[in-house]
Amino acid sequence: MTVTSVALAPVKAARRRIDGGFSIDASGYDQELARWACRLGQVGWSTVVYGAADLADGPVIVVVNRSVFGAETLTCAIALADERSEGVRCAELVDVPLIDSWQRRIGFVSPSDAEVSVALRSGVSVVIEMRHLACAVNASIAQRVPLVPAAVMSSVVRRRRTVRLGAAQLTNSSGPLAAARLRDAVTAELERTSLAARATWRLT
Amino acid sequence: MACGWSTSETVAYKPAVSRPVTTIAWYLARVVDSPGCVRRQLGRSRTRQEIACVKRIGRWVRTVGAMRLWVTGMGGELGTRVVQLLEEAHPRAEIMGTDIDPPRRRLRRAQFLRIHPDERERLVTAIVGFDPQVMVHLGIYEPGARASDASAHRRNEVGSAAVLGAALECPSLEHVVVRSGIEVYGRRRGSPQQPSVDCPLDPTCQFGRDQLAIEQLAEHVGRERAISVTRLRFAPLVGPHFPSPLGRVLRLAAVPFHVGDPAFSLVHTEDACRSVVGAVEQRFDGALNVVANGATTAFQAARLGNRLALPAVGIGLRAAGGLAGLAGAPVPAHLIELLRRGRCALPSDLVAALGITLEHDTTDVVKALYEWATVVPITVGVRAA
Repeated sequence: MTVTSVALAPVKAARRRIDGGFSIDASGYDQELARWACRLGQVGWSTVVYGAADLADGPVIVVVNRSVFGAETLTCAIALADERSEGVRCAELVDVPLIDSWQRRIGFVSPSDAEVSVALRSGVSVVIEMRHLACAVNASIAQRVPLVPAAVMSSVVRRRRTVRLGAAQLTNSSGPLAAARLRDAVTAELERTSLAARATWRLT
Repeated sequence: MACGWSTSETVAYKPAVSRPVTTIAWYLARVVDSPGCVRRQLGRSRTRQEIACVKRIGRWVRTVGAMRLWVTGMGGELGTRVVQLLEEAHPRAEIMGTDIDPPRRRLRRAQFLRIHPDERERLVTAIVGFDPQVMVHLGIYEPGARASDASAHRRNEVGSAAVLGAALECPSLEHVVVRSGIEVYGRRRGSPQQPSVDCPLDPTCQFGRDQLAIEQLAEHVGRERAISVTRLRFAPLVGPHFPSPLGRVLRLAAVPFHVGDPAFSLVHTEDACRSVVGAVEQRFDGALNVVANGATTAFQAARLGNRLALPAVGIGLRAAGGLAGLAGAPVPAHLIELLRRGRCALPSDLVAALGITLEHDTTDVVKALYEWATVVPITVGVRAA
């Protein structure tokens, strides 16, 4: 890769935007635009991920402990997009006509069973907030995909953020009892991970 | 009119011994008489190879057999091409159809009746008199395509009631194929971006409501007559010669697009025709989403065609639609919805259901829309004196 090609990359990308030469999939995802948005996000936040190496290959659902206006979920999704070879979607879509289509372009999906399942079926991982745990559990059971609890530690005044991933949870059975057990297991694992993350955060 | 498949001798015959040839011959006879009966018999005490062989023979018999096909909407681009493909695939099939306008291409064997959807009694008499075995209902009028909003709604309502009502009175009817669209899923807030066929139907435009009513009518016919009904839910159909409001808007010199610029999927008319033929042959029972891979946006489509893309929002989009209407490209309500909220759906497994694959993705459909044949001026030869 020459210096010229690197320097001209944004120009070429802008030209593709104007000429309509970009590609977009049926979920409204635009890979090129998502990559640019991801780089922009990395400028804003510096995120360290612990436990990414232990993640199994293939799609997973990452359940984030908390999220203020979707910021922590987005941080986690951007950080994981760097670590994982397959794509990552952020289930924090705001369903407003002017905004939602642009959010979809950069990898947002609606936190609903149908949309999360479609994303998992296409082979990408999904990051979702704890308050949508029921949706995550349903999708996990339907698609046989592991749930990974993640504790995000952040501060308003600091650029640095940490994401600690817990042990993956998966059930082979189905039905309401299986869903309840999986929900309990994820909640317990998330509490344990949050404690560990808090300890690490204080030390740094 | 004599039925092409049923013979009284074959029904009474049953194999006395369970030799494979005799068994296959018996099943073949039952296939000729009634395919549904064989489906019930299969899997009881037959081997897997035997069942597969019988299915193959049954398919062959149905393919080459002289069946009677009724096609409504035969005069349209879609109907004419479907009939052409059916004529090629089924040389012995007897095909008859109706529409407001005559067919747009040459048909070799099919008979055409010019009947307006409002002429209910004439339409019913023609269908019942023909007594079809397979009915293909493509006579769905898209607002802004060949009819105004009100006219399209009335034709859909009256015409489909007459056609599917007549289907109940046809004793030989075995299968119905109905054209529908992904407008039936609706684009309400919170509705999924890519609805599958299992998603609840909640149309948010008049065209979607019309299509849902037609689907429900066809399902009623299927239940009453215990026959299979294929409901093909097409993504917006666009093609260079296809009368589509979306196609006309995208071909304007300046194309209005919503600032949100949501994604929508399309389907090529040729793929749509092949899926209708597949539905006639495979007799799939249920709904299928016929949607090309990928998606596009109004801005991208306009720029691919070297058109000027004009951003608009809210009432501005409606105003732009009004201006487009003055320029000869009306923008009906379902198209405004598509531009504001997008329209995609999860494609069904057409290989398993109909035995076909869609050959064009959405970007190909958009590119084909702008590919006009070069006009070659013909020089008229000067007659020698």
